[in-house]
Order: sequence, then C-alpha cells, then structure tokens
Amino acid sequence: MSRERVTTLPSGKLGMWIFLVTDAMSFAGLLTAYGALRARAASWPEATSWLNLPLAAALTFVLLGSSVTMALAADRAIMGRGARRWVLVTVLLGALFLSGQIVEYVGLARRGIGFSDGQAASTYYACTGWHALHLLAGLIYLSVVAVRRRGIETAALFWQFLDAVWIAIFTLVYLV
Amino acid sequence: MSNARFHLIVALGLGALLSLELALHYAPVPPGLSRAALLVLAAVGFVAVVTFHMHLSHEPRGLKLLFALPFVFPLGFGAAIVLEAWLRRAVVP
Repeated sequence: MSRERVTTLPSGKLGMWIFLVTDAMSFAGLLTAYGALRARAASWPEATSWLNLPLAAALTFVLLGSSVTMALAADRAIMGRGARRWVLVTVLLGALFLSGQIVEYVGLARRGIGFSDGQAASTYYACTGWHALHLLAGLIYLSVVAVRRRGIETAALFWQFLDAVWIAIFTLVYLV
Repeated sequence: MSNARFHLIVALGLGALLSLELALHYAPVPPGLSRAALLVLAAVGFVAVVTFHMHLSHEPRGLKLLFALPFVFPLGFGAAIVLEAWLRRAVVP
C-alpha cells in the first residue's frame, strides 16, 4: 500500500481528483434519484421499447475505445513524444459518441418524447444529458490540451472518469 | 508488460464485460437475478476503469478514501431498498 500523502501529489493532479470527487457526487445524486423514482414507480417502461439500445451499445464501445486512446496519450506524454496524435484520436471518438447521443435525442424528439414526458423520460434526459455536457466539456478540454501539449495526464483522468460513469449510466438506464 | 498493452487488455476485458451485460439483458433469466447481475457487472466495470485506467490503486490511501465517499450514499440507498423489500416480504404473509 502506498505510504505517499495526498498533499505530496502534483497540484494539478490533486485538483483534478478533488474535482472528480465533487463531480462523482453529482452523478451519484442523479443516479440515486433515478433509482428512488424507479423503485417507487408503479410501472416503468422497458428501455428497449422507447430507446435505441443497439445505438447506445455501439456508442459504449466507441467510448471504451476512446478510453484506450486516452491511456495511450497519457503514456506517450510520460515518454515525451507522440501524445498529441492519440489525444486527437480520442477527441474524434468522443465527438462520434456525442453525435450518436444527438441522433438518439433527435429520434426521441421526433416521436414526441421530451424531458417532461414522464419520470422515465425526465430521468433519462437528466442522466445522459448531464454526462453529454461533461463529454462536450471534455472535448473542449482535450482540444486545448492537444494544442498546448501540457497536462495530458491530468486530462486523461477526467476522460477516463466519464467512461467509468457511462458504464454505470448505460447499465442502469438501458439494461436494468 | 508495456503500459499500452496493459490498457488494451483492460479495455478488452471491459468490452467482454459489456458484451456479457448485453447477453444477460436479452437472456431468458428471471428479472430479479438479471438486474442483480447487471448491477454487479456495472460496479465491476466502474471499479476496473477507476483502478486500472485512472491508476487509483497507485494513489495515496487518503485519495482512495476521498474518492469512495460519493458512493457511500447510493450504496446505502441500494441496501435500504433491498432491506425494505425483504422486510415487506417477511411481514406480509
């Protein structure tokens, strides 16, 4: 077990971890609210009856791929060369995920399913929308990091966290 | 093992885990069992990403405890739901 103290971590990395802890609270709160509403609801629509599960599954694998490319970028950053290319591949995969999410929202909107159309729709939009906003922020963050060629390891923490959270959201909202 | 290969193996493991989740979703398994298994698999996936891709296992113990804090309430809530269902079944004949 590491005997290192938290205060000995580089300030950027420590700051990112503290941010992730607070951010985890927001996602935990949303998913807990989702669980509470669903557990108390008399009935809850089957996800496959109104959501595009094949698309979401494909997007999940895209995000997993972006997780690998981001890890490769962080490794290359430590080695001191070739990190930028992998950050840009991650940005492309992230943009693909976000585009797929927009396709899902447009499909729902065309069928008249909006934010206020029942608890299932409200919680779906709240959880996935909050994650999508984070992903958008992540894309901007990674683009800035790619240009500046600094802070790639710290940015990788944020991106991997979004991947971890999506696994929880995908399972709870689409599969359970 | 190189770091790149390690991350690739972790990602392949996560891919297999998600494939298993999808198979479980479509499989003719009792809903209660399927839900419990899916939640366990999702928790394993989440912990795997945080541990192996984010290297939390290499960080100081204080940071690990700090990161675990946000998940105490949802876990407690989940346990309360299960306990309530169990008590209701025990009381109602």
